[in-house]
Amino acid sequence: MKFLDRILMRHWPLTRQSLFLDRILAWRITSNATFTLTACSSELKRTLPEAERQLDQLWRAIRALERLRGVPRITSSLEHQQRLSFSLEIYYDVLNFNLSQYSKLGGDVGAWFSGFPQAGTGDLSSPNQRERTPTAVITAPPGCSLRGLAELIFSPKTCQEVFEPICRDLFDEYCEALKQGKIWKARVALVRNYWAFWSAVAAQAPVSAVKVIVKIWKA
Amino acid sequence: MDIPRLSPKEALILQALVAKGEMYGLELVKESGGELKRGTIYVTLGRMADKGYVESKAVPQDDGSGMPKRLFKATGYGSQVLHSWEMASASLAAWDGR
Repeated sequence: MKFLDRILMRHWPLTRQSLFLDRILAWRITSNATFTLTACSSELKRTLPEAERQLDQLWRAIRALERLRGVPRITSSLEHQQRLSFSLEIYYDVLNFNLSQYSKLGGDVGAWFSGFPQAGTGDLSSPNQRERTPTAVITAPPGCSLRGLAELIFSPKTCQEVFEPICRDLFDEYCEALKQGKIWKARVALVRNYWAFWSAVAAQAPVSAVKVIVKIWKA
Repeated sequence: MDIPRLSPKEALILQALVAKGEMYGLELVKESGGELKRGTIYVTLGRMADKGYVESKAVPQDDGSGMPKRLFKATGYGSQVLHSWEMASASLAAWDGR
């Protein structure tokens, strides 16, 4: 985590002042869900024109994160202008996500996003809470480590046909629950799909082991 | 010639795929009403693909996750095996009833 912190501090000097953004970035990377809310986007475009400069830094942070193992590539060949709009999209998407996460506050979008997001990861309606912000955490998407583990143990074909779909289901269910703002449902989806993954490992391992033995025997 | 074998779970999967066309793994689990488990569905589907009963294709998702969804469908051979299996089952059931 210190390594990630260092990257963020280098590529995104606003980290300490913008933990909320940091949190958003983290959620974007962990969830990767697609959220669209046109009204919210246009509202932000009107009220936060100064965000564009900072979003360019956000973009650089994302590029840095992409180079880490386990974090999927977001995109690779975008021109500067597209890059900026892409960053803006990310920004809007995750703001929208956070809006759904804190649905109890989401009645008035305009009020919620009237200024540039400040530090705060808990109940963002409370100024006191903002001051007690915990360090933001950036993690790989759910299922990434499982996928890496499966790639280490099993053949590429088995990974593609058996384990990748399980990780995909985990990812989809987790993101869907987060999108609805149901944290517990997301956790349940994680547990359920982790169980499914290990069940699949237990079922697949003997078959793969026999295949390997036969292959060695024939060679 | 080896006679193709079909386990009850494989038959269930093939029935669903023949009836609905293309399906995702999780859809199959939901469709089965608890008979298929999400932990073993892909292992079973993988084995069925090895036997030539089903085929799958990756459907890229536009969310930057790098993980495509996998869509499964029964092959012609799989459909034929299912048909034969159903006929054999019906025939044996009739024999049982005598």
